[in-house]
Amino acid sequence: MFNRVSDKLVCQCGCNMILRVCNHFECPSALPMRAEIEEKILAGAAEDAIVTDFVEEHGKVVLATPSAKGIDLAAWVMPGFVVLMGLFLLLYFVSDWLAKKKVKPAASQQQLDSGTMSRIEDELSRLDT
Amino acid sequence: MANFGNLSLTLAFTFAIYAVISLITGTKTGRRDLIKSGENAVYVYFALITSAVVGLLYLLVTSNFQIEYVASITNRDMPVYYKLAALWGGQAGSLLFWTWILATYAAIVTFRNRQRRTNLVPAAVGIMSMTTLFFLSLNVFAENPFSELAMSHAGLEEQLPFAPADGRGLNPLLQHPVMVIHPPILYLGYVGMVVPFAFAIAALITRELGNAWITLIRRWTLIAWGLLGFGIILGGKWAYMELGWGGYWAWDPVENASLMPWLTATAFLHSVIVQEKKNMLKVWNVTLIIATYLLVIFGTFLTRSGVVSSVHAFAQSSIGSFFVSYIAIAGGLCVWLVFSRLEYLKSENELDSVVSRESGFLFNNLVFLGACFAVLWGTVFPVISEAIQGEKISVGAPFFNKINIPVGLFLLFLTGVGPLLAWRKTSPRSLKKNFLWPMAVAMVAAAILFATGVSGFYPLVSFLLCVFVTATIFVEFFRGIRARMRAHGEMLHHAFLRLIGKNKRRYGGYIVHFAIVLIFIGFTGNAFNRETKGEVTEGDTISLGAYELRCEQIEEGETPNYTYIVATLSATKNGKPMGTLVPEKRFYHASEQGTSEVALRSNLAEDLYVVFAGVNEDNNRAVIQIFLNPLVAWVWIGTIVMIVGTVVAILPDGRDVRIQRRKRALEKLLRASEKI
Repeated sequence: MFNRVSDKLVCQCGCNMILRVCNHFECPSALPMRAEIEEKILAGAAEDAIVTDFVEEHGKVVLATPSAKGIDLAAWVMPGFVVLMGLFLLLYFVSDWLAKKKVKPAASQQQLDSGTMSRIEDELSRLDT
Repeated sequence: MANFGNLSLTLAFTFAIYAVISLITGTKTGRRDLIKSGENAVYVYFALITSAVVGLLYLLVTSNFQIEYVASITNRDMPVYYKLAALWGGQAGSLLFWTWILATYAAIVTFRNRQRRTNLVPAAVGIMSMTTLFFLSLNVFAENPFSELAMSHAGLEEQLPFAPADGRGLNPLLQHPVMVIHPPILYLGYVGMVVPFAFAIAALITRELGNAWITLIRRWTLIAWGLLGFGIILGGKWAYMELGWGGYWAWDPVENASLMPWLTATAFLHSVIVQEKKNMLKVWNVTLIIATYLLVIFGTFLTRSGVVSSVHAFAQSSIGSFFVSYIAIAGGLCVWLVFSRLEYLKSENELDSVVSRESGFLFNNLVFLGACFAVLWGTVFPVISEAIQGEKISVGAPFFNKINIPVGLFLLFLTGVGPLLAWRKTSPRSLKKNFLWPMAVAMVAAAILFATGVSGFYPLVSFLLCVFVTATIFVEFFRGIRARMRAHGEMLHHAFLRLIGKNKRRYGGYIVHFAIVLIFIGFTGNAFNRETKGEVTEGDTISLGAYELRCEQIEEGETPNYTYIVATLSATKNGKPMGTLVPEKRFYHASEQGTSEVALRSNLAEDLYVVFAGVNEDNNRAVIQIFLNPLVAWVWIGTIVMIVGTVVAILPDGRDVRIQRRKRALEKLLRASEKI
């Protein structure tokens, strides 16, 4: 239980490390916080209650992860939202390219396929440089 | 020496202004004399910045504490190599180091391309000089490493020079052998990203947006990418050995600052292949390299402005406003340049099929950028949240792990899938043929692992994907070797070496992919970490898993630089002796800070990692923390393989060498004909 609680909290010395792993020499923050957790566990406090006590004492900054409420929810949602938007854009461009490919006449392809064309272009660009 | 350093920096600043103006004007007007003069100015500012660096090193080694930087970062009893490493140990010195590396790159690019008759190179060197100029302005006006200490005296209006008896010393965490090489390697990679950016902007300025700039920057980008990746892992090694918390990556803002440009550069290295092969994604590639550059500058800002809390950020400083202004101006100019050149950046081909190598690269790019955004968002979210709510919050490692583990696994999957897809279109038959065996092997391996007790969704998926990717790479090598053996009658090892030699870029890339697999094996080991903590005195034992440690001795001592306390622990595994471990706790006099020196026994299966966590003052017993970290060694092995793969990919192919020879001969002929 000690590990579970201290993994949910951040040391307040400014190192931004998880409370359980902060090992600064005689850290003025981590040592008393860890002692407090041990005391509360011995006194029979529940895991959530200990975390809530720390939030009341230090503010939300003591939590290792943003809560899933209010503005802080954006921390969790935005990465997924951005990837979805990127996926949407990607699919849009891919379908656009495929559509353009379909309406192009095939005559030029009959003369030289695009693989050969790209190889020729590749060689020419190498010579250009 | 301080005056000499100051003078060198001021003159370098002046010459950098001249280089920017003459190179950009020379490129726009086509005046070769201006370009030549600008190139000479680059050599001059490089020499001047080198002089300033040498001057600062001299002041550091000779402990000239009248210089504020020297007094704040060194002390008399520090070994000479740490005094030299102090050049990048503090704010002002590391900024000078940044400038010097950039000036070195600018001078090398100028020298290597001195006979190339294109506008791209002078414009690119002009852009590099512009970035050098920005950093020189910081060196001269904001964070001057040659500033002298002065103090007021009673009855005197002016302040008089002052030198303390001893300096405050280098941060003890930085007094570690890895820190002598980690920052230079990281900086070489980090700053090296300016080179491809400069060529991209030069291509936009000169409208030479064919594949010439891509060809010119290929090796520069690979070198910078390889060094940045190596530097990041070296940083992890340092954290593992010096911070003593049992891990190597904590998603610290400073770590994230170096990872973000690496992610975008990796995306660029993949998507640029599509441009080379198909003349597509031109806007995208330019955008990626601009993003990489801006993330490099942003990362430097994060590390130095004090805007985010970090265990290894530099002190709070006023230079943040310089960076914000520069990022805004540079970003704005880049966006304007891209929009104004859109007609030159049109794709010359279209996608033939959704199931193709091209679209595989596009998905790879999306995921890399998604990962980069997640890291960026988590890093800056505390600042955003505080600005909106007025209350600070923390975004720690659990957040980044939750978001990035699935993203990382998907990237690993794409690492296996990408090379199996054909250019233009992959038929269902080809898909089946390419995927069947690797997927079958991976499923069997996962079943075996599950049956042997490996549990947990992510670890199982990770191991499955590691086997899958390894199998796909094996199939690629197997087919190539078999074809060579049949076509040329070569022996196995000859066919293997010649296969790589004939297409170093492709097979170098596969070696890097295999390195990523090895690194992921190491990452997956984290899921099985175990630890324990106990208080011991001489004769006591403490055990974890099959290991038992017996405390033989606890000893205190002192060196000129620090006092220490060490525990000598004899270790056994399943009752068999395996030598002694000597974890140590140090307390540095000058900085009044303590550090842990970890004791480590490492093999391919696991690391036994022992930390002297402190002394319980109530009973005077040593607090020993033991970690059992499985598979960590694979992270370091994977890094070495990654370097090998990158070097292979950088080496020129036989065809490249022949083309270069012909080009050089043509250029010589051209110059000779001009003289006649």
